[in-house]
Amino acid sequence: MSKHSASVPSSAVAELSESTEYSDTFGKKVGVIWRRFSKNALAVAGLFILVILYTLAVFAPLIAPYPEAGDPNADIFMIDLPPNTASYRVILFDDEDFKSYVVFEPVRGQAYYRDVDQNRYPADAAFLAKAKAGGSYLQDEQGNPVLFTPNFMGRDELGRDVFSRILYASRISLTIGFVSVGISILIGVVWGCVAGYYGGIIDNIMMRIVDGIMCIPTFLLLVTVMSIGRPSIFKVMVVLGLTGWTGISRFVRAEFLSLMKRDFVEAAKCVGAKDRRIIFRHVLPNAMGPIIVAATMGVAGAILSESGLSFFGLGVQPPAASWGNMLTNAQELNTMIRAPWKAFYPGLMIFITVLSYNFMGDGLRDALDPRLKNS
Amino acid sequence: MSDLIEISHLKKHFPLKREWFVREQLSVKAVDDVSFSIKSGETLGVVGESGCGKSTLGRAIIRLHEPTSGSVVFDGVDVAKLSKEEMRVKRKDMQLIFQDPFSSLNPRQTVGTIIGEPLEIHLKLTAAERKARVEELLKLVGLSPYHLRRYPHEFSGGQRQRISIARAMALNPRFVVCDESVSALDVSIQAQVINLFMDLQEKLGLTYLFISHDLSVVKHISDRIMVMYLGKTMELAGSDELFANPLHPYTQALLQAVPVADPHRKVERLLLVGDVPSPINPPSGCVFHTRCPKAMDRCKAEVPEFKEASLGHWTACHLY
Repeated sequence: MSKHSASVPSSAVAELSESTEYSDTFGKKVGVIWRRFSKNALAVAGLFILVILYTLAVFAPLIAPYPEAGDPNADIFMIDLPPNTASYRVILFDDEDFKSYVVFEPVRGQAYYRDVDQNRYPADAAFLAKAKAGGSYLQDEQGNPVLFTPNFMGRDELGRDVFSRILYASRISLTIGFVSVGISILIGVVWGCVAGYYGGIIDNIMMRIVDGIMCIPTFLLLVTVMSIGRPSIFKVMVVLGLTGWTGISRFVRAEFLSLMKRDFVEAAKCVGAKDRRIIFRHVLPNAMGPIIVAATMGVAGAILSESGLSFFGLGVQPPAASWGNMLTNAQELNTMIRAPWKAFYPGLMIFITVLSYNFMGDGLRDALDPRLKNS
Repeated sequence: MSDLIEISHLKKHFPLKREWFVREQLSVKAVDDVSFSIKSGETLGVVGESGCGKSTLGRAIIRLHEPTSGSVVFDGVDVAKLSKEEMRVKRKDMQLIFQDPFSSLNPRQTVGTIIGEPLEIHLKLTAAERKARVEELLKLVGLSPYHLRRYPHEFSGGQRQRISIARAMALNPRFVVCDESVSALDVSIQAQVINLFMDLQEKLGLTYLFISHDLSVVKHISDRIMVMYLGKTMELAGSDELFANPLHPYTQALLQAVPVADPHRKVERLLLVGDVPSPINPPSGCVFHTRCPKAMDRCKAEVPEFKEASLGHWTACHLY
């Protein structure tokens, strides 16, 4: 009747007091974290993009229109072919001779054709008309011209389809990022925990070891390890993982040193908690923020380190592709001007991956912190 | 009533980093040769300026700081000599309530988890039993059972301190050290929490070591009061006796510094000059002689003995 006679619904009160457990079960905790995570649009977008990227990587052989190494017979005609160019073979009766050409018709811009010797001629309207009218297309069974498209990311310097190579490369680049950071986090967190928790002389020795490892130039070590035996993707991951943990261990140690002085840790000692409980229940959960941030940054670092190695020919071995070696292959100024798509797409992929990891990491960090529940 | 806890010659020195070319090892003498005992069911207040070693004393007794030397006999057992594991088990009888309720609760745990933790560590209870006990404790400290799924940041300072108290009471301790437990709270909340302490003492038969710099709070709650200065005990007497008849010049100065809500009251204040000397290199003889208005030559040379000046009224001063 009256709008103002609102009372607390008794069912709500009952719900609050009838919960059977005073702390949430694991499943419920995950639910709460997910609910908070899902409120952060950027983080969800990051997660969504990463899921897509990993799915594409897993199904790369099914999705990629061309093989990773390309098709040498066909590709020879399509070196540095710009994206979205229709191309087809045509045989013309020219100067009393049959000659085979590949004709390129970009969506915008000047059409041209090549002969078998790779000589390039501008294709004027007269030529195109002649090709379509008098020439005979190389035809498939239905009588359509054989097209070498789609190539919406263009072709590289060996005529290979950039899109297909991006897909295959994502398998390597995403794995390197994930696995090497996983190794780093594991070692770094354990090392930092022990150093920060026990402190004193143990801390001193452990941190001097970290300083020592930090003094080793990672890149030279990578080069050395790669040149022993055959370079392989697993070596890259392991070496990046084994050298990348020092920064994380310092973060974790610093967090431990400050958290160990907090009253709630002393209170836990005071009620008789063992070391393991103090570390895993009290200190580590409060140190998650910097660890997650370091991990997301580390993924980017690992992908870029791999590209550096590939630059020296010590990373992923051709013809296998990684975003790093695709990028380094396209780094000359000449290439950047003439065929920018070769650098643009791998760069874009690294950019998207790193950004997605960072957004997701930020969201995860905030979702794990109950103090930020309502913000 | 018998003594529940007896502390004799307790020292806690924090060694400083040894400097080059300095022969001796310097240390901060935070608690220096303190002896006293607390009866079962009694509240002993400890007062003194900042840095006089009150908190260190409390923490050394329950071994959050390892005592440098001396003994803490609790219920016939010297806890200062127990092994780490024996002490861990013993902790269920002795608890500490911290000063700052904003840092003494883990921000990532629910109230239920925080209060349930001591139960989880020391008792083998089923989840339902534990929950029942946690609810009981929440009621005991004046909170509602439905608070147990909430996080500490959702509570006010006073409520947080109640949570902290509930955690300390979870295992039915016999001895509780309250380390400035009300200083961080508003005055109105202070009164509530102090009353809670007194109620709990009555209900559970607790023994308190109540550390504070607020003399009026200490007077209200304590049976006996101990005055500390530079890590040493200056005076120890019954609460009323100490306020009525302070013997030590330091206690006299301290009591005169207590503000009284009477604008017309004119008293001659015994003002202390100078600062508290460094506890690294305390003055010779009586540590208070540098600021004492009644200092004699003897005070500089001889350490005064902590002796019983009248029945139950102990002081460390050459005047008595």
